[in-house]
Amino acid sequence: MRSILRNFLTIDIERCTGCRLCELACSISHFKAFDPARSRIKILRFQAQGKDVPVVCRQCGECAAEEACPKGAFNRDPSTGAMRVNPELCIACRLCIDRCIFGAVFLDPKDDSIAVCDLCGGKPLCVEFCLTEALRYVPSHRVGLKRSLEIAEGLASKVKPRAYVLPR
Amino acid sequence: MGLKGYAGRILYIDLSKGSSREEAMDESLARNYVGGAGLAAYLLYRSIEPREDPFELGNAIVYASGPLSGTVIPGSCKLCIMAKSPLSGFLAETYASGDWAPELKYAGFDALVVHGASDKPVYLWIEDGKAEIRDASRLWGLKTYELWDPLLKDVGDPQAKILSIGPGGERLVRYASVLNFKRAAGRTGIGAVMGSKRLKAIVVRGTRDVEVADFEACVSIAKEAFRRIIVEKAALGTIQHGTTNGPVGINARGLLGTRNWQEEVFEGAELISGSEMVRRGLRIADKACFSCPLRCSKLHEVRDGPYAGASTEGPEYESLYALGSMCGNANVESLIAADRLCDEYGIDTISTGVTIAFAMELYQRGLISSKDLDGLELTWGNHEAQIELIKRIGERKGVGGLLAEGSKRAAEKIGGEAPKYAMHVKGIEIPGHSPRGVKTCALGYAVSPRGAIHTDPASAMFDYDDPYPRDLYKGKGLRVYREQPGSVKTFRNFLGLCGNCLGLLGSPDWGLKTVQRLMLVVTGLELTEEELSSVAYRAYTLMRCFNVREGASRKDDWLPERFFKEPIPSGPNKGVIVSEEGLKTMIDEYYQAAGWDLETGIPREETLRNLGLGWVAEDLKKYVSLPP
Repeated sequence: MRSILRNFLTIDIERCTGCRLCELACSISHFKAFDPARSRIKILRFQAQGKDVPVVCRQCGECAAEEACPKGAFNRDPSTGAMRVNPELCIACRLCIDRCIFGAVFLDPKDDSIAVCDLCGGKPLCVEFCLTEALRYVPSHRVGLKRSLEIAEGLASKVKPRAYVLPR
Repeated sequence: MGLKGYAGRILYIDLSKGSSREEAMDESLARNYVGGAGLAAYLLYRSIEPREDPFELGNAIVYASGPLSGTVIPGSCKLCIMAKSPLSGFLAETYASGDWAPELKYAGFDALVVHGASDKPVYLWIEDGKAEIRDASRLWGLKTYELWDPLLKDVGDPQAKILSIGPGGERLVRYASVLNFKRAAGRTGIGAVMGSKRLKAIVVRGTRDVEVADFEACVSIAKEAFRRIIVEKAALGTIQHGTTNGPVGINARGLLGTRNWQEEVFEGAELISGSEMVRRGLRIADKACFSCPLRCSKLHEVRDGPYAGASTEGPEYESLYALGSMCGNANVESLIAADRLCDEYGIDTISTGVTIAFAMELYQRGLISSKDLDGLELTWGNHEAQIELIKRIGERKGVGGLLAEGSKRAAEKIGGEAPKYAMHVKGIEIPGHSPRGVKTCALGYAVSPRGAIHTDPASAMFDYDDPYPRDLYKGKGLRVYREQPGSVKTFRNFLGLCGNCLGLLGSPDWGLKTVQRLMLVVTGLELTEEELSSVAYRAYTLMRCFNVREGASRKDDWLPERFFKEPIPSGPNKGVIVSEEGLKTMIDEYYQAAGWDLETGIPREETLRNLGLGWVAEDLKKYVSLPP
């Protein structure tokens, strides 16, 4: 059993406006640069449909990229739960990129190293830059709660409270 | 420390020869012209063959980013495009937000200049410092929305950014737009110039970073903007509705161009507003341009009725004016469909709407009949006819071929009384701000190098509301000129910034101090306020010289007769008119302050030399006699 409370990066696709400030934030946080091509979060825009989908490591419990790695280069940061790639072990075979079921492992175009979200060590800058709160970073007991609240709100608007009086 | 902020290179493509070359974007160019409109004006002046038809080989197109493009500074995504306009024969200048300009920087270029023309349809593929001219035969004829998927597949990169024309540009509709996906650089007809060069699209992709002088300061500027939005609720109206509630606010003042400017109060203004679109459940999403927290681009979709299924980013204020109140059309579903059609065909919503409004007034007055209109009954508010007409313009079919020429040329061809009802300046259709009500707007439309445009600094519009009496002219021309460098409309066009974001940057009062700071932290260039003022005056005088070389003079700086002869008939500004004498006074003041000759409007030689435009003076002397 883990003893510390873990936070999760949550993604509300419906709230994404496609501004890509998260991509800039990622390159700011990791490289002190304005270079979205190096970002470990990508916004894929489906122009004709008017939809934007953030693609980023979802910190799966079972990591397909980790399982695919022939060198055992992946390990989990115990403090954040983020997947990390050990550059000493990584041979850049890119199997992890092929296997990640969300397509959320990338290759850094500057040095051809494996690029995967590390949650900025527990303070993800993309979340700070996401003004519509499409990206949030919340402890596990609050994951999903916002959606629950929205759905419950809809239900609440449909019901009428009633006082229960015990029969005499 | 070298020059920061800029990519450092300008790319030249010659479509006739199929060749490309590069030039350095050096410090003196940066100091004297900054970027965006300033840089584009400099490059364009030197790139075109003067006095040739805009569709001839000698026309060139300049695509310029700003020094801020590609940084985290909110709203720094604006692209400036210039060429010679097929509508006016003078300067064509237009802007689009979106994501293309930052990507051009990431690909290693500050600006792109396109010369010549190709024999067959082509597109440009620019990736990380390399440019390639590719065959576009299979893409020719596609509407913009149909183009994106095959083009992205062709370059093999889903994150590549597309700038393209639609069938309107291919068929040389004189007010064809250039679209960065759904964001249109609509005005002055550069889409048709691209069409004449058989250049369907320019696709860019880059992985380089934009290096800045003070990285932490740039990040702080962004974080401060976010704080203002979250804590101070700054720009809340823009976040909620973009510009879509413009019709209500401007109609309440009695200044909303209606039925081809016969009126300035529209009974249907509320019905075509953003609030109404929300109330009717037509608003389906908020979309944002690159690096912008304001998400002012509103996605609308029609759910039922004859326009069911139509969806578009927009219509924004100017489109609601041009296609809505100007055409007497209060059917907002049809406006969503019309906006989408204009984007698909790649034609400017303002010029399209105003040209249709012109035809509607001719129909109202019996100057044309449904026989001349392929059987269409062009009554005010007939949205079915309007939609049909947009298609015909985009395809240049039937009467669409005539209207695709723009209101000025169409009026000349129809003849008789028709030119009286063509609402344009220098051939550019009038946008949605009242020259009768707002006198600096009248001045701006008259003296702007690109005709009737509401986003040029000469359309200062500080007198939109009280305490300025509507009939005051004296002093305004001088004030507009003096305040021009610090105006919100000036340096945004040079830096590559969107007007909606300016309030989030620097001090709450946008001005030269903010520009100074942005230039310093991004480029490392220390520019004094005087130097920055000179940049603005140099650029606008250079644009003036571009027009003078093409034969422009003071007589071109004037408004349609209606605004002088017909007072606003009703509403809060009933009776208001532009006096010819008053406009003349403002123009005199403006020319005088600018150092332009009062009689001809040609910049004096001394003015040019003082602004470091001696090379322009030498060039101009080949074409006109320059006042001393």
